[in-house]
Amino acid sequence: VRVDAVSLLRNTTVAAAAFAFVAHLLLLLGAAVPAWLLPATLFGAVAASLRGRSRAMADEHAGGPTAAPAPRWLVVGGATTIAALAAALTYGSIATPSRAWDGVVAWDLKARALSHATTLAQPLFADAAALHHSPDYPLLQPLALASLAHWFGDDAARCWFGLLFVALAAAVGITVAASTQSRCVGWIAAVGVATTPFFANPSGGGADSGYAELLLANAIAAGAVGLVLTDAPLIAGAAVLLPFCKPEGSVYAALLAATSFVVAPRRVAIAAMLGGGAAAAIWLPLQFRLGHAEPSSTLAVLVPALALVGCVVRWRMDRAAARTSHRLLALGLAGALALAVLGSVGDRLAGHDSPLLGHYLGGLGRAPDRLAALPGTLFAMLGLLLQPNRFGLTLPLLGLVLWHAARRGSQFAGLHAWLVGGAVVVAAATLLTPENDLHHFVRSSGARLGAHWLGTAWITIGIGLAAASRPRGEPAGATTNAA
Amino acid sequence: MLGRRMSDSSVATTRTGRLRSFRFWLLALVAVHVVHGIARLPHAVLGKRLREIEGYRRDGDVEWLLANARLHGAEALRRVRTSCPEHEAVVLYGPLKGALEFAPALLWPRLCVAADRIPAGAVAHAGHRLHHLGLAGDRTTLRIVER
Repeated sequence: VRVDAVSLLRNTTVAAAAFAFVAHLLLLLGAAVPAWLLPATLFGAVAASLRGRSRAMADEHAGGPTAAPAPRWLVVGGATTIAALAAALTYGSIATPSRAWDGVVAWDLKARALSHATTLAQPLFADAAALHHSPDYPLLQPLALASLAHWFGDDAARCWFGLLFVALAAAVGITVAASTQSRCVGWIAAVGVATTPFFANPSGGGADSGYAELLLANAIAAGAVGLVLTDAPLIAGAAVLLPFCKPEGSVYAALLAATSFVVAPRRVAIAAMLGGGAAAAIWLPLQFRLGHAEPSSTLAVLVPALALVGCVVRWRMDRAAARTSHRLLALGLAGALALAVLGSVGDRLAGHDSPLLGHYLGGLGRAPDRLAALPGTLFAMLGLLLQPNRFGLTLPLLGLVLWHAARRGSQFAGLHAWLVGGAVVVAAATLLTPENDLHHFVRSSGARLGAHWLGTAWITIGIGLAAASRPRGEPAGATTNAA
Repeated sequence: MLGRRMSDSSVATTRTGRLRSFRFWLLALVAVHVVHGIARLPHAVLGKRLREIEGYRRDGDVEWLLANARLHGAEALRRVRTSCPEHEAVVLYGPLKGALEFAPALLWPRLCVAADRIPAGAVAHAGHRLHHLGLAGDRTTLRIVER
């Protein structure tokens, strides 16, 4: 019996998405989340990834997994480096509870409350007078920690953070190896993302800080994997996961659906839109309930409906052999409709009791006044992303491979569109943030917003590295041991 | 014809050379990135983390977390935590910003309730007796409020 790495990646993403979806649905219905739900979904994922040796050999003979092997020194060195970092982060997670601001005040408290009882029918969540930080945050990470604590105890549950770190490196390595047919480049990309200082640093947003940045980075990377491998279940899993990780995940789910609508094959695009729409149907009403705000039926109905209409439109457009420019036009119309609706409900969204995301979406009126400050804000953010002690050389490397891809053309347009879309969302966040002090916003959130895209950035760098080893026009799959 | 073939060949050679050079620089930058990341392991990843953990264990969660966040009033928070039984609720005065954000997490499982959400003179809220010590705070400092 052996494990197929791409299947394992796909199945764990789908299993995590199934857990997130069912758990939040149960919370919405007022039920408790059973402790067996997380282990059951994860065991199912591992079992589905195991396959008989004869089947694996047959696949290899049939031209299945034929990635060129990596040199032994690279495998040993890479695995040792990732294991050493993961061990340090796991120790940092277990030794004490969270030691950074949001980790303590927002995420740990929710995990402890859900460890006490995995239901919202407890005063911390149900009582509008009960105070705690960011009550409307999604609960995937606290629910996972509570489930792990039930089986392994509070301390061992915090191995979660080390596992997320390894998962990000593995997702990057497996995706690059599968898409370039070179395990060597896969290992280089995996070590590259693991040695990027941000998640290893013991500061806010670091792996063991207790923040959910690493979880969101994994979900965003899963979106990139789905686009690169044009894998429908994987991209659906990513689209479901994103809104349940952090508030900005809802925006990224919409971006993933929009990107897929324009550049991905039809089944992948439809999977992304259905996944995002299904997650929104659960998460939007639950978010308002957690924030003790009056639910916005406009948003709760509009977003899933828009996803369904998008599926039908894309299906019809493919039947009519519509060009990419037509898809862009359709997306622009949908975007204009969404903006018009947001404009009409914006005042209410920005109300005192609205969820955090509502304050951003309801702040469209702020954007024109802040346009003048945008270059300065973006320049400050760029400065953060270029700091070697936070991001190493990730941004210069990313710039080089994107420049190279733009000159030579690339078969991974979806991945590049996902990255560019992410940059646009981050820029838009600076225009819409309810924080009046933009310098404080950049200082406190800029690096974390960039870190969400680290996995995706290193998938792009890995693929670009392989492309730099190929003559023009040769497809990615033909590369052998590129580096 | 021969000249054109030679010209094509030299263009291809130049392109291959540029590609090799580009690949070399990419790999060199990746190597610098990885070596920099590994070189930070002893000091920035392990050393800082171990010092944090040691400080947290030595000073206790309340003192260490507030001091690390450059906040004041650990004494007030510790006093409420010591005196308030777990089934009572603590009243918080003022918006949940700055130092006061830490109170619900560090007082858990005691419930923290907003002063403006309970009637004046109330002694209990939703089955929880209200503790005689409450907490108020601004962006940097926590202080005790006697009820």
